[in-house]
Amino acid sequence: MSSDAHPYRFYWILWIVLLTVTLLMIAIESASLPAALAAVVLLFGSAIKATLIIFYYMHLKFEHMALILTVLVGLFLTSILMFVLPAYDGLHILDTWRGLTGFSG
Amino acid sequence: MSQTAIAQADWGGGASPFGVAWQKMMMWFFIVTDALLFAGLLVSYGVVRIATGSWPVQSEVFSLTYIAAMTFVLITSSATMACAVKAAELKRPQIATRWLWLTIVGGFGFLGMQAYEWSHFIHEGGAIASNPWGPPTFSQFFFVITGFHGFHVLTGVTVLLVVAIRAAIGKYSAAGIENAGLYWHFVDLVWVFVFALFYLV
Repeated sequence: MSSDAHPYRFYWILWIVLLTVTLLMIAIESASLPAALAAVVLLFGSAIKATLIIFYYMHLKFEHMALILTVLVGLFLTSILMFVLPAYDGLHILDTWRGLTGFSG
Repeated sequence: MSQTAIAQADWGGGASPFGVAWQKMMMWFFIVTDALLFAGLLVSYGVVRIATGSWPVQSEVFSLTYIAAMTFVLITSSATMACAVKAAELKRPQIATRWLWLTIVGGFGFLGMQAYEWSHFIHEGGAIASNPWGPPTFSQFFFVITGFHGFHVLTGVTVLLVVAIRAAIGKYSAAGIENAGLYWHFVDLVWVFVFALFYLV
């Protein structure tokens, strides 16, 4: 992963990548894309950053598969489920609210 | 596969199914559970935001340049932390400790910037019960989410200081640096999502 002569080089390359993705995400926010598309793209950018941090800065890539799966299933799958399931509740509450008040914000 | 081979294999629950020291394993378990805490906070923020129907335009409330600078400081401190762990792995205690102190400087830098951001937000009228930009839940989630994250940064800096001071008095521990590093990267990881979901989306 990194040569003996430059043992830290890889981490600084990763640093540049993480900063670049961050700047791209800010550019996307400023580009006035449709809200839903911007949200998906920004979440994708966050997922890229998170993956790089977990696998390389936290060295998960070099751990046993048992630990990798424990972390990934625990972290990603549960988080994604938590995000996906309640979103419908939020929309439902908004619809109910609109139906009750005629609010259209 | 014989019974012995199964017992010794990862999935057989042999002596060390995760292949790491217990301290590191517990740090990973802690990180997963702590991540779910933040996932819960961000999910509730998302649901409330969707259900509210209207939300302030963040770039009109916050300076995105300033938030980007905070992100820069935190990512940079993650890079110096990764270098500290690498140096510890290469059995170079002095270099590892030097990277560690740089990481601590970055941590304090982030905390100082966040303190300034909070005081600015409060000065502009942001409070728990109300704020000039939108529904009260906006400022409530701001205080709770960035507050929880800031508290984690403060904890992380404390842990790093303990490891660095122990190294200074001759109780250097490479495993200590690695475990503190895992926690520090986790703090950076949480910020990735706070930054995207609270400030950008």
